[in-house]
Amino acid sequence: MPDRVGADPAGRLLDAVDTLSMWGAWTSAACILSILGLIVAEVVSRNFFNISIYFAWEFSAYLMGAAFLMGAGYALRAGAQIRVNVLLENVPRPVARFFDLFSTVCGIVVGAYLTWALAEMTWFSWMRESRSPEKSELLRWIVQFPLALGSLLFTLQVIARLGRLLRGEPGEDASLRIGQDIE
Amino acid sequence: MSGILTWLLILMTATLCVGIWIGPALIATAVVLLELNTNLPTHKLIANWAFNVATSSDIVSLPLFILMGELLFRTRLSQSLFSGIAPWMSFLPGRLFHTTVIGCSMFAAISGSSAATTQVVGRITLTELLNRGYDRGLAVGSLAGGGTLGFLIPPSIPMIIYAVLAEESLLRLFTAGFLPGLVLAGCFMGYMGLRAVLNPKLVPADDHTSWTWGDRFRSLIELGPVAFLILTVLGTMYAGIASPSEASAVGVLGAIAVAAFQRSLSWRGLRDALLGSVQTTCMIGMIVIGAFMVGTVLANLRVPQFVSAEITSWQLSPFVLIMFLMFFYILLGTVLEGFSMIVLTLPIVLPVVLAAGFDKLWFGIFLILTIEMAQISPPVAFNLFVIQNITGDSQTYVAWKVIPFFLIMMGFTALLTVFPQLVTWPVDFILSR
Repeated sequence: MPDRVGADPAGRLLDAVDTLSMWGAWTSAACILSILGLIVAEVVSRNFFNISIYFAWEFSAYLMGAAFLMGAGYALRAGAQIRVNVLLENVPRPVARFFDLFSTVCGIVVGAYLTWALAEMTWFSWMRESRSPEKSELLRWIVQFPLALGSLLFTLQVIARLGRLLRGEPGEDASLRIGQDIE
Repeated sequence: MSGILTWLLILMTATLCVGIWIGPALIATAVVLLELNTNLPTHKLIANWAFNVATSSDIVSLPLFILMGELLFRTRLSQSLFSGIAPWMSFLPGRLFHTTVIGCSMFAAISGSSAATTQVVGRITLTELLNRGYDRGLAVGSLAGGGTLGFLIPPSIPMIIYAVLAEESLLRLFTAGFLPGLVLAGCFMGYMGLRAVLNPKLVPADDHTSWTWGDRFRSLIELGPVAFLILTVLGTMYAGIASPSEASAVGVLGAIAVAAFQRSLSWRGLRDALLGSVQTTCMIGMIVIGAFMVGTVLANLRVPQFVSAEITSWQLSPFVLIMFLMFFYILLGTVLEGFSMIVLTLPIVLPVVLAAGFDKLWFGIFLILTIEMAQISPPVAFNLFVIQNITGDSQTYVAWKVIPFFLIMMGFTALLTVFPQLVTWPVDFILSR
């Protein structure tokens, strides 16, 4: 992501959000690699030593939840989050700009709502010291916290997007788009 | 009830049309429907559903199959596939035309993505065909059609999504995709052969190729990496060594091994593959979270039962119902990409189809076929975009040339409706053993 050395404070703030999103992306990548490690360990352990790693699946699932949301802001910045573009590409430019701004505001509302909901859930789990019903009996707030944090990163990135659009900058950073579309 | 449906339609259309990202649009729809129609603590439910679906072990294979695809995309399998398949094609009418469909079928057996299949197979095969003077239209059309097999032949990313949303076994779905995938590939090849026989000018008289039997057997070595990967993914799954989710992890290791063997993976490539997987995984993750919320809200409000009863009262025959759905999805596929089509329609359509007596497994394959068609129906058609990038042709040209393959897919879908055994028989045969 480009750094604006010596740029205005608002520009530096937008860059800071990008940096946070990038950290989120690397955390998400680390989660995916950890899932790989856990599942490979389970396959090897079960087939060669006849011992199943009882927490492999449970932890993999928690890691996946973290991976889904920790990189969501980065995916948005890279333009990887899918949206229906047909109308946006076929209406006059001012109308498309209005729709884009409106979508971004809606994105902020949804992101903030999800962050609040997930943060409150994590808070209550922490207060009640509730534990996973699985064999690991892991404290639930530990595995819920990354989802709330990821959702916060997403919300910050949508807010930053609104800032960029208002400054006349593109919402996405095309240089980040490296993923092959699932389709 | 009709009030809820009206709200659903307004919300979905409005949020999607103005360009709100699909994941957030679905979450917003679920929240508004809950707030308007229930007295439940909405934000608590939303948080719980988000956590439950995002940490569901049923979809753990998703990020790993995506990572595997990203790694494979950076290997030299493209060249290997063409070099391995081409020498064997001189016996068939249409000769090298078939390298597209056979290449796609083989790559589909290690990749869960249709656009990746089109891209990887197309970037060498299409160039080779065009350089040798093969008919441009048929070559382009066959790649567009063949690329869609990436979804039908397992592993398949949309099948993972369908499995979790429809609560169907992933192994059964994967198994069900094999035979239809191979038969569809056969139909594509039959069509190309027929075209070549009827109009020999489509195939160049001299395509600068002559292969001895020695060449042919030596070429099989080129297919070694693909065969190895098929063995690591499908082999471990059906040998009972690994579940489908575990097979995805073994597949990632296999892809790394192939990339290392071909010396095609740098640290930079590995970094890009990882970040590419993060982008796709997070995009799908948010959509799955939103789709699960909408599905659960609609189920709680008993909307699917209402729609199902309404459609049942029309007294359509099951065949007519499915054909109606096929045209509905084809229409939807012109503006939506396939993945969104599944998550947006499944909560309502699945109960209707089940009430009409169709099997959940069969409907999964039907849905995969319809989203394959969506991949090649413009204006929103990812496979056509990929081909345009390779050849530089206009979208109109590519879309025009893909029509025969599209019609074959429609006919094949109708055939599956008449003979659902094509889907269910291999599952019963293989998994009952």
